[in-house]
Amino acid sequence: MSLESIPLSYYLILSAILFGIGLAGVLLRKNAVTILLSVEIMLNAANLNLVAFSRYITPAAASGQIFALFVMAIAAAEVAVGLALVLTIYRNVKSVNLDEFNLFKW
Amino acid sequence: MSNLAPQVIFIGLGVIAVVSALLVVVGRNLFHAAMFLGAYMLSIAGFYFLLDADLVGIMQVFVYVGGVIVMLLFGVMLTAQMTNVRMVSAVKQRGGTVLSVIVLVALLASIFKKTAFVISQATPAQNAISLVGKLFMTDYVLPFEVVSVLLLAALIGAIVVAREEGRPQ
Amino acid sequence: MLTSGQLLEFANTNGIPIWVLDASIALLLSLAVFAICGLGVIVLVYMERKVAADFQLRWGPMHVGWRGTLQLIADAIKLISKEDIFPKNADPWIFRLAPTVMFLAAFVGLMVIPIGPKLVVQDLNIGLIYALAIPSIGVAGIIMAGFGSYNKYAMLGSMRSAAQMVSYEVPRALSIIGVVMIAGSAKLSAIVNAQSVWYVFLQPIGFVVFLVASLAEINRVPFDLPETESELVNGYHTEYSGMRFMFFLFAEYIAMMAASALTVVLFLGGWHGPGPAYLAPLWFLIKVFAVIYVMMWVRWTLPRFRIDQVMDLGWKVLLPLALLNILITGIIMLL
Repeated sequence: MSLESIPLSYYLILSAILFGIGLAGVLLRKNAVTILLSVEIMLNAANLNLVAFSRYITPAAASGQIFALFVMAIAAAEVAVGLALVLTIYRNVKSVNLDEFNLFKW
Repeated sequence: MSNLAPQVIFIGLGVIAVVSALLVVVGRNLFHAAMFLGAYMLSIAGFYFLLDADLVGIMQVFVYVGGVIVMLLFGVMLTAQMTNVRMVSAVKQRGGTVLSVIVLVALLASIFKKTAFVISQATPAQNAISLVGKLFMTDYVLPFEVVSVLLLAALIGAIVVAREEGRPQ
Repeated sequence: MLTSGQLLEFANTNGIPIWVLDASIALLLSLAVFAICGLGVIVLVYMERKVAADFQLRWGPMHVGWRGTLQLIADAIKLISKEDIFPKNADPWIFRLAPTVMFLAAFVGLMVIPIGPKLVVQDLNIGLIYALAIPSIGVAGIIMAGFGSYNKYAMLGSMRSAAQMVSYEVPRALSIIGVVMIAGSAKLSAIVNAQSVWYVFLQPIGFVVFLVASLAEINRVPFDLPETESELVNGYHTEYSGMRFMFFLFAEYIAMMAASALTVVLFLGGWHGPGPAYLAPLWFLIKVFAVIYVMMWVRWTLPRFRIDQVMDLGWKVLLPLALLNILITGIIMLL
């Protein structure tokens, strides 16, 4: 039913906008956790794209959905490791500001 | 049949998604940002239901809202001072960054608008859960196993990285 | 009883758009479930107090109404009329939203549970995953309560519960895979229909793991670490009073009902029972209350675990048991 009333391009444009917001977050913010959150926004936008393509182009095969599920698994792993890194750095540097993570400069 | 409901739902979810994503990016309070990310994830799950991908939608709720968001909130609270850190955004090229992101989005949007996609009218698979399960165990068995190894590595890696033992305080 | 065809015709002749019809049906159904929940919570609180009293050799509530039956209504009036205390440094939005999030998560999770052959709000293909996934949002509500209250006990309680609930979700989800393997479906009504023999007999390990993990998920004794009175005052709802506190109470009892209903659906044959078909919901209710009674029994007999014991049990005992259960089920099905 949603096929006629909502064209595929709507989904794609929406996900492009969301991806742009996430990208802006990654580029503009300096807080490491906010950057993690922004990366999640981008991953979800890409996932929306995959599922929309799966529904409109190949509805009978579920390959787009499978890709989305893979992305989810990897995103969960990414958050776990990313957060662990941020916590460790926070413990050592007492800051979550990416500009101050300059231990390698020694 | 002119059924407006999907469009109304699409617009509503879209507004929620865009607004909460913006609030995550511009917000000054980490805990609030994580909450808005949760709202964003839920709206994306709503899109999946609209796209007849029930399984992906439920997994979105399970993995992201029940797992990732909780983990993020947990992390935010674990470093209680972190929530009080004034979050400065002192990137110098802010205008240029915003402009280039807008240009990128506009470019993508115009490409999507112009491309003629071959829309299939076939009905979506009714029992997605068994279809996806079979595909995982046949066509996609290698990526499936690789992902499981990756998850295990991430699990162990996160514990090793985050543990405090033996560190000078 | 109106059929959907008649409803559609009625809508078409009167020019009502279909989505209005859908929305009103959805609203009515959720109101009905809400009413059942409210009634259930009243019965459960009374039952909890009576069972507790029984285990401790006392009478329990006796004065309001016949044998104290109206006690809960008196309590509710007291809670509603109490002052709504708002901590000074609390985060206003997070503090206000937390009970609602918890309540909604518990409530919406009930929508897929079939209480009779056709008596279910929405019989999803993925009902089982839904019933596990939606209540997991409740963890976010607990963390919000802990963070929003600006109170160290609330914070500690919510962090404990986050760790505990996320950990026990893993064995809980794995323990039902055996059921899905045997039934060949994740649709809850199909699982009930497939149970000519109750799955508690085919999946004893799965049943035990699921029940224990469910107890941990709903924060009941012996897993009530998030609200240990002796250590954390009241855990994540320390700062809550009046109406908001009532919402937490509501959410907890609804989560308990949902967990025991899911146990009945998955392992105890759902609505199956002797007698004519119209007795099905009754059988379902009896089984649900039996499971709830067991949970209360556990609560008033066992001491509380320490937090490290809880984590050990989850990751080192239940998780391997759940995996072992999948392995055994797979081997038996192959043979």
